[in-house]
Amino acid sequence: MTTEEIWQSQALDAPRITPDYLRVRAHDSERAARRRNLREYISNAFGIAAMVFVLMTVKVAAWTQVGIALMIVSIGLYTWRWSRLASPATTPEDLGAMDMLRFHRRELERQREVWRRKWRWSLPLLVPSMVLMIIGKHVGQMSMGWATLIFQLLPVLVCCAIAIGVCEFRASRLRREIETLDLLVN
Amino acid sequence: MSALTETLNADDHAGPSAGDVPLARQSVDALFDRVANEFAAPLERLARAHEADPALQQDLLQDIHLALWRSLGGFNERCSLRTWVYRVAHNVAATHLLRQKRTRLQSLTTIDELSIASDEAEVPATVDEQLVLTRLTALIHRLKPVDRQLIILHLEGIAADDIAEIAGLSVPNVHTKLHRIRELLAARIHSGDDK
Repeated sequence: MTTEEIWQSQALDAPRITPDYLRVRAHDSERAARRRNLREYISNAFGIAAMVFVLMTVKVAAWTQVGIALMIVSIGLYTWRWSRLASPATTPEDLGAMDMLRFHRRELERQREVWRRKWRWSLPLLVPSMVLMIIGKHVGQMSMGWATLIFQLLPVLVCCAIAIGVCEFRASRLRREIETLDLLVN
Repeated sequence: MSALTETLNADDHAGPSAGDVPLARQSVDALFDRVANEFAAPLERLARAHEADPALQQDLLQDIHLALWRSLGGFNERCSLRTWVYRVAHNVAATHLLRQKRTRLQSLTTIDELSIASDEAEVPATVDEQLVLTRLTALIHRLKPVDRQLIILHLEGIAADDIAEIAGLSVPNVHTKLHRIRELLAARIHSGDDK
């Protein structure tokens, strides 16, 4: 027997897969994706609702009110922009092997750029409203000194540093994945 | 979950491209039944060639069937059904491979980099069929995705021109690679019988 004949004579024992079974699997994975999206929308909606509640019921300084209103708009804009940028592209299924690997590389490069740029657009979007809320509180309580204000702004700075770190870490991990993919193609 | 995995997981819903007329679901089911009957054995061998773990083999086989079932709605007969089936199946298998750990991927090699001389001390003129399969599988597991695809298609008895169409490579490139594969198989796997 030749090697090809031996290869083709391998005993096979996999159970037959039917369209009905595949339909159930496809339905399950689509339901899981819908639930994941729903969870994201609910958490964002909850955050916005909480801020609207504070804005409507709690008596706060005018600057803080402006800060909260700006934060509501910012979260909405952030959610919209991020859902557009982060959505992975759909692979055409009948590509040849090299084209498929090139497609994945392009997609990884796109995602790396998305993460590299994320903090550059998201922080200017979210930070002003946070700062405004803190300044609003400071203006409302004139007894507070500058040291207190700076101390209250520290968590914002820490959050910014963490956000930058996470974005750069994700981008560098993607760069390593691109390098690994290059090893498989070259 | 890595970004690559996220990207790869998002590949599950590719539909027909613009301008193609999607097949009715009943037609897709009938076509899938045909594919499942006609290509059951090659697809199972493909899953075995790509994945050593029996449980993961079954997962991979199911993923291949699922991708085929989903993709057949966009099958437009611009290529043969066999080409379509092998392209989709090999893409799912390569995707499965890309999900593996970086260190394991880095150890993969190409047909050209493999030495013709066997790692075994001696390859006897006649060897047990099970040993041939074990050696073949081990050899395939060492290869990068494109070379894996070429050797598997060659072992399935597909002609070079058809392999070129399935893999999306040029015919001369495939001929060169196949020449190398035949040398490797003759020297390392089944001394004497491969021509």
